[in-house]
Amino acid sequence: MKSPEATTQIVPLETAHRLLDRAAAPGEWNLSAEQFQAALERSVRSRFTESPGNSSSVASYLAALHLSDLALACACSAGDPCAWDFFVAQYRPELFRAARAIAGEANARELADSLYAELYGLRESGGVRASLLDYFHGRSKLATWLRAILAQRHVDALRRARRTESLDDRGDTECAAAAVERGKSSPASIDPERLRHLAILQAILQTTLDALSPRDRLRLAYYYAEGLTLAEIGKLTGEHEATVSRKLERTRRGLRAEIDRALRARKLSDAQVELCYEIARDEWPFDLTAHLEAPEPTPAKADGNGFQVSEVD
Amino acid sequence: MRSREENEAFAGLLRRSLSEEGPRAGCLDPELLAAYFDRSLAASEAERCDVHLSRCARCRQGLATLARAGQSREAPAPQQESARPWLLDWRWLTAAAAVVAVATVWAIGRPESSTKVAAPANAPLVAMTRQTQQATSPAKVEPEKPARVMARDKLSRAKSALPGPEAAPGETGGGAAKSFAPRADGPPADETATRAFEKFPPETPAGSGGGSGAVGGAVAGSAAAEPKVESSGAVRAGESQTDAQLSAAPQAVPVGPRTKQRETIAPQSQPTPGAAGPAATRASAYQAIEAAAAGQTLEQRTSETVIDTPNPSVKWRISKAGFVERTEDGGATWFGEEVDENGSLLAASAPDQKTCWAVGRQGAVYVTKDARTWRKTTAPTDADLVAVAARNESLAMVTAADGRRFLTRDGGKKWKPLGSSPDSNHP
Repeated sequence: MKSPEATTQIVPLETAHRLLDRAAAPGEWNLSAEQFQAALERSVRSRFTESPGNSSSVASYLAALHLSDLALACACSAGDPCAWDFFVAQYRPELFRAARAIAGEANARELADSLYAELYGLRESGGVRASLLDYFHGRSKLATWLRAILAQRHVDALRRARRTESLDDRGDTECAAAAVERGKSSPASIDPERLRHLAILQAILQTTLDALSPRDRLRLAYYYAEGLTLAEIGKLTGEHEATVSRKLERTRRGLRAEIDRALRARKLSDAQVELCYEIARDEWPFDLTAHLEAPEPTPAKADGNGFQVSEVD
Repeated sequence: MRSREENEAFAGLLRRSLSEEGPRAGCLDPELLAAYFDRSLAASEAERCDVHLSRCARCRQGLATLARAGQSREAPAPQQESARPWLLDWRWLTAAAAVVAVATVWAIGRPESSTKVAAPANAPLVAMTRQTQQATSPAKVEPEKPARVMARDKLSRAKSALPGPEAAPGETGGGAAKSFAPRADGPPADETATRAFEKFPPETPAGSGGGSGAVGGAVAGSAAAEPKVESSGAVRAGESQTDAQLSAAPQAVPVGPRTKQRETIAPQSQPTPGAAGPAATRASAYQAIEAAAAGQTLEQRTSETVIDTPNPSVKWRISKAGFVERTEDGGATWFGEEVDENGSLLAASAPDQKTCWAVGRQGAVYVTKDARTWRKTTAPTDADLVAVAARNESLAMVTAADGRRFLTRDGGKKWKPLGSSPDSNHP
């Protein structure tokens, strides 16, 4: 088992004893107060990275931790077989269930197994087994933390493999496909004047979105970009489903009114405004300004296998 | 009033604009993401997360994925779902309380009631409460144990496959019960906070993705992760832990009208059956737990059909779950999506690296020509399609289970019957 780190004591040993009692880790996990103290100190340091918190803030922080989950993670990270048995019995089915929900049946095992191996600690760093559980600090439930890792890895894999617009619903893609068949297939087929209208629309939209409060923008992004249901958004924002619906509608109306006002301030007619929306819906390019600067449409970047490289990478 | 088309256009505009936001500096690590999801952050921290999430598509997508994974886990069986809400429905409680109060006053007021009831003073109240429950309980409610007790029982039965538990020395039942009490919802008290965003540790391949490049590690992990020990697990602590987690788990909420839309990304999780069967060895016990959690046999879970392309590194794969995946590295990693929500794909054909035709039950035909976007064509027949042979994205022939064959030259818009194949069993 790993020995506790020698650190400047932010968490006194007696505090670690008390918190370990509260965690009620079973004795056969062989989790010592010193080991738990080290885990608590890692947690506090991760929370107060820039400046050390005062004693009361640290105490409040420690009191709010998920101590039982932290004790389990600490014992597993130390390699205790009993703790690992418990983890396997309780969390491995959950891990695979979450992986199936996230990545689908075919990819679930691969996604979950790779994480499972890292949790167990197959890598060594400086002669000490490095377990991913070292990075669990008890700020959330262990199950949520595991799901968060799976979710992030899955999203990162998708973003590397394809463009983010693939996460849009199929209906939007079908609309684009229909527009393609109608002959409005590429920016090259749009005349420069229409391109300029789209550029104006993009700039106005961006300015208007930037002016939204973070919560309003986030709610909008959850609904339109991530396609979450009102209930799911409510769970994330801590609001009732009806409240989410009402606020979404209010934000959307205000956004639309502001965009319309700004477009008309540029002397665009009603028909031109409607055309802007229709064209933007059908064939919104990633970077419209690039098309305005280059006379010929710039082909999207692609890797050697034909997949488009996301802007992240 | 704006037209429906205008509204759809505006929605599409918003969707694309908000989806384009690239990741920002200081992305949320899994710890922060999970704490945000559990709503256990301080108010100021949560607000900073809101600001970041409103701008960072990557973190938002991670949170959305987390939400869907949690939603599928929390969705209970119908009888469980109905058991809890009505019991805690304030309207029922108010009505029941009013009835009980009236009945109590009536019982006390009637002189005959004291002679009929020989029990203690509160007995009529208890009796009337039971009658009230029986009278007002909805017909669909089943007298089952609460959801968390049922789940706890399932876990207990699953863990019973492991060696029996030993008493945990020094463990007190009261302390354990207290320690595993569910956390209160909501963030802790506000406190002076600093920005705690941190990148995922560089030595941990968080950015490498769950599937890519980790097959070797996954295989090794699967083999080495089974600890070779004989000591017992902590069943009592486990039960308490489960209680805490289940009681702290949020209730399932009614899903809005966009549920069907999201099934393509977050397919429904398999139901978790009850006990794993008895296992003599630890390895078989783990396998039983895993299989029970998966809800299907290992054979079913891994059955797939691999379709080759002219490029040996590029292959397609369809599964009975309705997924179509593609590999570019000869099968080391696969990426794909759920093409058929009904999970009814039976065959596929890939004339080149980016084009693939997939067919299945009830005349389902899907085609992609860019390896990303799938389109469902018109169905040539209502019968199950068991084979497909494609020349390119436009020209393909499908064979139905009864031997009939159909040809399309326009990508599936129109189909022409060709007659039966010589051997209907082997088209």
